[in-house]
Amino acid sequence: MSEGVTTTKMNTEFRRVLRKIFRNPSAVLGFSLLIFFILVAIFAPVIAKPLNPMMLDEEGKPMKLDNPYIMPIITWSSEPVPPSREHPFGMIQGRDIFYGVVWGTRTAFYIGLTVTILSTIFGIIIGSIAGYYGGWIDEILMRITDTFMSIPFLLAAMVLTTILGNGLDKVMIAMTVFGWMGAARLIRANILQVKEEQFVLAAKALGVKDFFIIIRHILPNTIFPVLIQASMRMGSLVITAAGLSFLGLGAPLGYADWGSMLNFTRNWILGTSGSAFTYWYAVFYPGMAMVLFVLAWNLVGDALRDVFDPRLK
Amino acid sequence: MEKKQPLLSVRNLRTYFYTEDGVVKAVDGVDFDVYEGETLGIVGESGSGKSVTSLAIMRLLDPKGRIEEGSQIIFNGKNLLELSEDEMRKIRGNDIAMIFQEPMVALNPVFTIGEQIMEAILLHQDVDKKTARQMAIEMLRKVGIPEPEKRVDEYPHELSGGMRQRAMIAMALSCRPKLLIADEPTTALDVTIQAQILELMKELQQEYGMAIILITHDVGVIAENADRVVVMYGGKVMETTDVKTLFKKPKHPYTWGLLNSIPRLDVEQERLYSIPGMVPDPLHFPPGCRFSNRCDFKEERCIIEMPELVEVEPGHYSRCFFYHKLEEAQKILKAGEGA
Repeated sequence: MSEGVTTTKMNTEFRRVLRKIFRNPSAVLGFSLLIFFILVAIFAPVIAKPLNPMMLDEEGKPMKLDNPYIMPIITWSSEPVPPSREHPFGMIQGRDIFYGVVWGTRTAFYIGLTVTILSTIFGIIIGSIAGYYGGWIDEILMRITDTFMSIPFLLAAMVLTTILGNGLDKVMIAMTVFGWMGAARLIRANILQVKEEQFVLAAKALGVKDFFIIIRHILPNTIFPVLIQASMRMGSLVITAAGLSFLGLGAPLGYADWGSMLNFTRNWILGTSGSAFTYWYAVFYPGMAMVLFVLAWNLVGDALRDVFDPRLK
Repeated sequence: MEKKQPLLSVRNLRTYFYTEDGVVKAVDGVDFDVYEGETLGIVGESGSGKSVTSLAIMRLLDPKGRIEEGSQIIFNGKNLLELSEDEMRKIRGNDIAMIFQEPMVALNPVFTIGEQIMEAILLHQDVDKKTARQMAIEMLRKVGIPEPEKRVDEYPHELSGGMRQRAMIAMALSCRPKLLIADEPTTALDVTIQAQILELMKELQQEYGMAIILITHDVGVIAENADRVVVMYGGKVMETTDVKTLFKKPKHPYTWGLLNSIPRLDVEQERLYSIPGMVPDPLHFPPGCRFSNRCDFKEERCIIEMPELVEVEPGHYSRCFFYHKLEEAQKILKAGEGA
């Protein structure tokens, strides 16, 4: 029976959250976009079949790709080919832009989620320890945080990627190493505030261990701003990763990644003499995917903040 | 008075805070005993060190505050100051529990009250979750919360202030502590609710036979609920005796001042008495008696020399050189009232 009570409670709470989200048009837009991207990522093999039309098997059918993330070369034209019926987004560097945008969605989620989760967890650990224990522990951890913050993010990520060697995983390591400080500072500031609350003292007076005080009493009261910040950071991380790929540091040549696709356009961005927009599709589709992806996360972050901010309840 | 072994005896407790401006002697040599089943009232103005004393007993001072060498807090024959943090944690909540001033903020807003009571039970008692939940409901019933089976799943913000304080008490008493420290338990509540909560504490005290340290600035609350009283001022005990004697024959000018500042209906008063002056800055206590700058009876000696806590009558201690002058003044006043 008690289970039932808890479930109904959860349900009313869940319904309250949903109602709040659906009342706000920008939140609806954000969640719709996000769901759209998630669907595209899940159904990528259906939407853009990982087949290579240039390589036929014995029966004359296109062969399956070994690694679907490496975009197959389907034409030998060195110039970008404008959109057509078979290739709705056009082609560049011999590759289908539509294929790249669709599979790039998976790459974007992969990079964004991995880096965000890792750096947030790391930030929460550092920030919780610093905030809860205070004193010299706080001093040391925060000075380390400051040191990391003082290095320009893009530069640091570039240098570290170069040292580690090119590749998507190296970019992700670099972005995690230089991306946890925001979460650490935020959680520390929140903990400093919450640990003075009387319920923390009350928990201590009941004999609760430090670890459980942090996990059970402090983090649940401080975690939401961090999660919201993390969801906002998802978008910007994808942009940074794209930036690094654009500079040639990230994904290998021909990888289905929005940033490296923009890298292909470097020579064509200015169009031909007299008409600047000749190759518009080469920039527009990957660029648009990126803009919408970032927009989706930012709107979702905003919506979450509105829903969970206790002052707005 | 019978010679029982006290449950808790605090000896020469000194708690200093090391701040950037200097050392704040929040508690400076406090002694008192608490016997089983009794209520000890600690009364004093804000800044007198009463809350710091209670936190020191629980060893929950924030890192800036230090309990100085030579202090002793003997609970059940053990010096709490010599225990390891692990041993101390077993005592907290189990043997000594605490309730706080603001029931609004002393409960965690993200957990139901049931979960919070269960946390205490599961920590100190070897029971499974189902039993703990049953015990939590039983506890809520005991503190007079209606429909405890339903309330157990409610969040603190769904309860009224009085209900929250009852839930707080349920949480503190769930492990049947031998000693309950109640730090201003009713200050944040309505007067009618105050009386109910104090009544509840009294009932539970009789049922469980626990001792209570009742910390308050409200002399009225002390009068109705305490058996013995410690009057604190400037981090020191000024006077201690049983509650009746304290109200009839105070032997310290500060206590007298406190008692005179309660409104009375039986005597015509134009204005309520207030003790002149301010509590001295704890960073710069006067070298002599800490109350000397506000005392009507002070002499040269009071400013230079700190009086000792002396037994002026059996079981009645006062920290004043000139308590007999107070007696004369009281006599004169009584005579005046009679006329």
